[in-house]
Amino acid sequence: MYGWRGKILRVDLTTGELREENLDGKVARDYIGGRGLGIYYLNREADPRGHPLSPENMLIMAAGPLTGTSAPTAARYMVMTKGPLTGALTCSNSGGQFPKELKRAGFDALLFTGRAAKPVYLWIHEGRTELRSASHLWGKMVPETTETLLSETDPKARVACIGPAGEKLVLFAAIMNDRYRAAGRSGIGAVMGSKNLKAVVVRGEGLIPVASRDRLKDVQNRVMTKFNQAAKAQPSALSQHGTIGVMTPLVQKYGVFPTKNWQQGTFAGWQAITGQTLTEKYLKETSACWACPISCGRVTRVEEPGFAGEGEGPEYETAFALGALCLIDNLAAVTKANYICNDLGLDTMSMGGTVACAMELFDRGYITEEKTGGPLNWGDGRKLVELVKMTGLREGFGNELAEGSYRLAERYGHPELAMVSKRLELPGYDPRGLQGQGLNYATSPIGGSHCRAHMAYCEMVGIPKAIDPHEWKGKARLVKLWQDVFSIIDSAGLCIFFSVRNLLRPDLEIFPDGILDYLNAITGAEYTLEELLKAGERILNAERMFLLKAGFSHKDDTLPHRLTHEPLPEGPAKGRVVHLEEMLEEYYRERGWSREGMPTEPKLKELGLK
Amino acid sequence: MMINVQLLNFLAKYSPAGEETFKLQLGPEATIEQLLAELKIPPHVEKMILVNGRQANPSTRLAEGDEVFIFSPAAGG
Repeated sequence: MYGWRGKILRVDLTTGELREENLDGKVARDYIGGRGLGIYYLNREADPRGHPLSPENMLIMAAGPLTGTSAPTAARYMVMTKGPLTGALTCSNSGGQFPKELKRAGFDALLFTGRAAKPVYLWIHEGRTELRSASHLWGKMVPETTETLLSETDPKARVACIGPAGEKLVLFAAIMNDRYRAAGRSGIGAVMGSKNLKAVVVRGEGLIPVASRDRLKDVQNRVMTKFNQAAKAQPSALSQHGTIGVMTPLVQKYGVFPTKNWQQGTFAGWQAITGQTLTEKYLKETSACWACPISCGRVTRVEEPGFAGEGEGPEYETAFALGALCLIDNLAAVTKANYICNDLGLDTMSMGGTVACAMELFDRGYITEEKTGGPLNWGDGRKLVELVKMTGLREGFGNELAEGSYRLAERYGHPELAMVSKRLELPGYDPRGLQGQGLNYATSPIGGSHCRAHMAYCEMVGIPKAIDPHEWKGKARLVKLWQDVFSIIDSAGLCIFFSVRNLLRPDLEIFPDGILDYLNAITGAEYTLEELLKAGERILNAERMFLLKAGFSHKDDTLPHRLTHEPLPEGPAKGRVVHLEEMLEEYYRERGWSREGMPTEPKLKELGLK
Repeated sequence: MMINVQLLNFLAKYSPAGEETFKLQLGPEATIEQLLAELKIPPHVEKMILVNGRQANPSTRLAEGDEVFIFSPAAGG
């Protein structure tokens, strides 16, 4: 095989057995890799109704056929499992260097089942695989865990691990790789913790075989020449100021910046937490994942007393969740809270969403100081930092926050104040002013995510073309297209940021021409465009089947009541709510699903899922 | 009439005084097209234009006190 390494590793943590298995060629072709491979194995082998934190749950780490090659931004891998926060399927994506290393070590995917009797880590190197004791690492933060593992294995190895939050089964614990990169969402870190799996350490020196070096060179020349010319003419703000610099001014100007637990669409303090401010005050240097020409990572240092620290971040989603959502305009506090999340292994998005929910519960008198251990006021950056620590360690009120906003709000009798879809805290784009984004959240296979499709690209940024963000008619068709193409990007092993701008046809159909060229040059699979699009659709439908088998239905394709019934009170999207019901009807039709959101027999047959 | 303009990131080089945010005097009933000409932003520069938070095009007419925000979609990657 080319591109793919043709091998998966099964790890039974209960028995300690490690078994290599060949990757079936047809499965690889039909499901591409990464996210596609993940859902293939989950549907075949996992119990969709099982408890996410039981030994039976399957945890999959999968890279794509392009991961680790020289294709631009081919740095990504996907972690797939049943998420403890949501009870739904989850797929969480991360970049850095670890995914490339996994591919170089010769594996397309790692499949974990069972539970180790004592903490262990998996060490992969020079064609060998072994489980080693991690008892000495239990309780250690992500940086110390990473450093200790590198010193006892190989300094050139790459580490993906959990911090104390994953060990303590915080329902939104992340898996951190290369110290600062997070596969963050739905509590996949808690799944690792429940298995007593502290880390995966990989050293890979093999080269990834490429089907046609000449064809790859041609595609590279074409894509990169265009990219470099464009970057010269109009420097990328993503490189200059990171995601926080790209998105913050835009959401504010469109009035879709979720603020004060989604009670407002604009934030008076927005300029204090934008990327331009970060660049000025705290940026040390930028960082890039493997093979990335953008370099959107922010290496930062804060010196303010009480918030001092060093690390990476914040990204836009972090600044939105830990900042605007909690009405905090103190970038030092937001950045410090981000560092602590990284160290403990926490998803910054769900963390911010949960604190904001708690602040509203407190503001409305539904929760008292006795419970919270002191006042929980909007805008209190010091309190935020304190709560993040307490959550990761499940101390005091942090133990309640560790369950996520849905369970917290429900416990205090007001589940409507949890701003979630399928119990996953929503990302930072208010769909009352970006209608398609609302449908995108409600139908994402993992719950409230902007990474399984991102309608804000066309509704807000103008990529590939601008469309009216307030119109809901016709959005369903676009959401379907974006979801299918994002499935392809995630499965191939590429980063969304580069792909949307450089590898998709620049019209609203967003055909993945560039990805097709890279895939064919590297794998030699000779996909047609139609086959590739079909693969994207197959993955999305396979994920839907997992959700349905797990007990979800169209009734779960929802948004919080606030977004469909409470009009935005101010800003350019004032007076608007999300027209979800109307869009959903269109969406099911576009997908060839029943009115109840079930893939029909003919659709499943067409996709080879029956 | 007086309008408020913000040119995001590298577009600030087209600002008359180099500031990202500034006020600008335009003739009555001026359009976005006239504003772009006034700022000497060449047509080939890829841009998105918002007037009071709503997407605008070259023929959009401006009014006293309008907030104009211009950014580059190149931002996204």
